Amino acid sequence: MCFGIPMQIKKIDQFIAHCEAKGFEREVNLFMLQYEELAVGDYIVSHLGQAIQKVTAEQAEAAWEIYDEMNQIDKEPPRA
Amino acid sequence: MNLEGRISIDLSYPSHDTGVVTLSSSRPVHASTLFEGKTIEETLQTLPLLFSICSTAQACAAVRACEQATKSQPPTGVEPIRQQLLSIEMIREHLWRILLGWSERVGTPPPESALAEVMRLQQELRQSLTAGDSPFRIVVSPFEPDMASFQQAVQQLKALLKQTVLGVDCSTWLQIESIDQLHQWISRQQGVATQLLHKIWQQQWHGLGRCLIPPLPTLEWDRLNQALSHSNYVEQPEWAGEPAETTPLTRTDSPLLHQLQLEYGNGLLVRLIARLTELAQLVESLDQPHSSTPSPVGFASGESGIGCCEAARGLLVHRVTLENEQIRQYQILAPTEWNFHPDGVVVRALQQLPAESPHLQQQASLIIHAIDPCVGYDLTINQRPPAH
Repeated sequence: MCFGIPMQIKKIDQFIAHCEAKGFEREVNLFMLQYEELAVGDYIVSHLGQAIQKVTAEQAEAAWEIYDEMNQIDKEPPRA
Repeated sequence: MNLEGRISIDLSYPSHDTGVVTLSSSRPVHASTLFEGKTIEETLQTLPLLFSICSTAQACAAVRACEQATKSQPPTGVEPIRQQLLSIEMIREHLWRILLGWSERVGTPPPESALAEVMRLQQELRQSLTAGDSPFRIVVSPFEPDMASFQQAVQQLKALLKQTVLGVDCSTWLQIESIDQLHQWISRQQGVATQLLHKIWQQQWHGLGRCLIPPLPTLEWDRLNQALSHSNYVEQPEWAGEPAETTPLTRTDSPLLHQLQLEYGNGLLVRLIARLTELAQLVESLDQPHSSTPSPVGFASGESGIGCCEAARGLLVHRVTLENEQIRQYQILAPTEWNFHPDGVVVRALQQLPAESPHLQQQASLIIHAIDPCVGYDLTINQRPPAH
C-alpha cells in the first residue's frame, strides 16, 4: 500500500539527510520540505527517496508500532 | 526494509512481435487487517499515519466508510471541506509527477524551488481550511475556513502553475480544444511539461501503449459489497469478469481529450494530457468549491459500510464491518491494484510496444510512469536481438 516510512534524521548534508529507522539507513532528499525547520534528531516521512512530511517523535513511534504489527499480519495468509 | 512492497514487471519477446508481460506485486494489500479489533476512533487516528502518501484520500475514504457503517452523517459544510482537501492532495500529487517525474524523463534537473513551493502552498491551503483540525473524524464541529488566506494561496498556486508548468493561465490552457492548438502550445512554451510533450511529439509516440481496457464504471454498491466479502478480492480486482482502469484519464473530460482519444485512444500523449487537464481543472475548481456535483461517497449494508473517494491515481475504496462498536473487518481497495493487475492496463499497454524498438526501456518507463504506481517498481526487458 501507499506507505511512507517515518525515519529519524541522523545527519544533514545540504539537502540530503542520512536517516535511520529500526537499524535501516537511507539517504533522503529534503528539498521538498524547505518550508520546515529540520534538524538532526527530527523525524520525517520518506517516500521513494523524498522527504514528504515532518512528523513528531510520537507520531513516528505510533506509525512504527503499526508497522511492527503489520509485519506480523503480513506473514499470515488472509482469511478466506 | 521494504514495507511498501514493490512491483515487478518483465517484458519479453519469446517468439513473436507481441510482447509478453508478467507483472507481480508484493504490495501488502492486507495491511488494513491490523485495524481489526480496534475502535473506529483509534482506526481513524492511526490510518493516515500508516498510509501517509495519499493520507487525505485514505482518511476520507475511511471516515466515509465508518459513517456509513454507523449510519451517521457529518455536519453540514464538512463534506465540501473534505472535497477541497482531496483536491489539494491531488493537485500536489500531479505536480510532483510533473515536476519530478517528467523532468527526469527528459533528463533535466527538477525545479526544486517550485517543488518546495508546492509543499508550502499545500500546507497553507490546508491550514486555511481547517486551522489544523481534522474533518476526517466521525463527529466534527462545523468548520470556519479562513477564506481570505485560502484565496490568497489559490492565487499563488495559479501563478506557480502558470510560471512553472503551463506558461499561460489555467483558464486559458483549458480553452485549448484541438490537437493543432495543443501542438502550437507545446511548440511555444519552454517548461517542464512541454519539454516532455515535445519529445513525445517528435518521436511520434502519441499513441504509444494504446490498448483496449474498459474504464472502471460507476460501481454498483451491492455488487461491490458482494465482491469485497471475499477478502482476496483486493489483490487482483476485476469488474464484470475483467480488469478495468481507474486513472485521471478515465475520469477526466474535455473537448481536447475527446479529440485526442479519437485519434490516439488511450496512448501515452492522451494520458499525459489527461493529467495536465485534471490538474488545471482542479486548480480552477478551488475557486468555485460549490460548483461541482457531489458524487456518491458511500453505501451501508447491515454492519458494513463502504466509503470511497477519488485519489490522485484513481478510485480508492474502503470497507469496514463493525461488531460491538469495534472493527471486525477492514479492507482497502486501492487504484494500483486495478491498474497494475496482472492483466490490467499497464500490462496491456506494454504488450503493444514494438519488439524491434531501440527505445524500448524508455518507452516502457514512460507508460508505467504515466499510469503511476504508488510504490517503486523493477522493470526487466528481454528484447530479441535485431534480425540480420
